[in-house]
Amino acid sequence: MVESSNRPRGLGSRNPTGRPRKIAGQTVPVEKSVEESVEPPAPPEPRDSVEEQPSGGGGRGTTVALLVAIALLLAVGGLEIWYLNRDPTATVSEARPVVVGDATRGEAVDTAARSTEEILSTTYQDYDDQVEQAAAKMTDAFAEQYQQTSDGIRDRFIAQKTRLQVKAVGQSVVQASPSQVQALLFLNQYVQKEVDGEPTTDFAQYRALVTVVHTDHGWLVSDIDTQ
Amino acid sequence: MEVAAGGSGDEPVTPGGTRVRLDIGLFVLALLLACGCVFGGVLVVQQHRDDERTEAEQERYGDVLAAARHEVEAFINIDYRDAQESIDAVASGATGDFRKQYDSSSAGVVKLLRREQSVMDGEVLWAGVVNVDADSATVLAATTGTVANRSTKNQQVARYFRLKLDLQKVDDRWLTSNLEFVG
Repeated sequence: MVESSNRPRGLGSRNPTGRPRKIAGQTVPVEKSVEESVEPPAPPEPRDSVEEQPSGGGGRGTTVALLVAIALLLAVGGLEIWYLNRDPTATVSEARPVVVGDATRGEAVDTAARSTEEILSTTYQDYDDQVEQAAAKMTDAFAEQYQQTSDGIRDRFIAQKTRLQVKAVGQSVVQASPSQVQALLFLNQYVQKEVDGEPTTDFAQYRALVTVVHTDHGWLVSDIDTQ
Repeated sequence: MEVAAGGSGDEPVTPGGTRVRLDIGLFVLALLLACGCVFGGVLVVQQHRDDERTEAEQERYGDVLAAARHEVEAFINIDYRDAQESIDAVASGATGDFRKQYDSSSAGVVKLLRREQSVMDGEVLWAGVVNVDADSATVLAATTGTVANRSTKNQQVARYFRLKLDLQKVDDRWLTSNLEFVG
C-alpha cells in the first residue's frame, strides 16, 4: 500500500504506457492521425462512441452477428426443407404391416377381390376370351404362369361344360406398402359341370392370399395362394 | 475520392456509411430468412404431428393383428387334459358378450371337452384387417390345424377355419368381443 501510493502516477501496472487515462466525455488524442495525416484532425468525439464503432456505422461486430444469424437461419431453413421433403413412408414390418393410407389400402384390396373373382370365374362357353381378359389383370410373369395352367385344363374344362363362379365373401388387408399389397380373401366357389353326361354341382369354401402390385396400369395381381 | 454509386460525386462515401448499408441489407435478409424459418417451422410441426398420427394408425394394424392372432390361437388350441386352462386362455383375450359367453358356459365346455377327449391344435395361417379405428376393429383369420376327438376315433383330422373377429380396445388392450365362423 505504501509503495503503491508513492509510485508516480502513469507508471503503474494499470497504465504502463504512461498515456493519459481515457475519461468519457473528454477528447482522445489520436497520435497516428496527428502524425501521418495532413488533414485536420477529426472533431473530438466521446470516447465511448469511438470504442463501439471503430470503423463507423453499425460496427464490425454487428455485421459479424448478422452474418452468423443468417448462416444459422440458412441452416435451420435447410433442415426444415430436408424434413418436409423426406420420404416418410415406413417399411412394412410386423409392428406396422400397413404403411399406406386408407384410400390406397381400400383400392388395392378391392382390386384384389374383384380381380380374383374375375380370374377364377370361368365358363366353358367363352373360355379363351375369359382367360385373355383375366390375364390382363395380372403381371406379365403371373399371366404367363396362369396361361400355362389354363391351357393345361382347357380341353377337359370345355368337355365337361364347366361353369365356375367364385365370390369373395370376405376381404381384408394382411400387409400393404405403396408398391405391394397382400389381401386375405374368403372365397366361395360354385362349380357346375357334366360328368359322364350328368350335371353336377359343387360348392367349396377356401381362403386366398392375393398379392397385387402397383404398376402404371394400376394394381395388378402378381400371385394367388389358395388353401 | 470514393463516390457514392448514383451520386453526384459531391458526397464522399465513408466506410461507416457503407457498413451501415451493408448491415441494413443483412438485417433485411436475416429478417426474411427468419420469417421463412418461422413459416417452415409451422409446417414442420404440422408435418410432425401428421407423421405421429400416421405412425399411431399404422401401428394400430400391428396391434390389432397381434391381438387377433393371439386370441384365435387360444381358440384353436384346446386340450381336454388342460381344459380349464384352454378356456381361460380364450377368456383372457375376450370382452363383452364373448367373454360372458365363455364365463357362463365354462363349466359345461370343460365337461364336454373331457367327455369327447377333444384335442384341437392349429395356427393362424393368415390374418388381415377388414377395418380399424381408434377403439374397434374387424379381422379375418385363416387357420390351419387338426382336431382329434371321440368322433374321429382320436385320429387327427385336418381342420381349416375361416374366422371373423370383432375387437374392442379396452384399457389399451385389444380384446375380442365377437368371434364367428365365416360360411
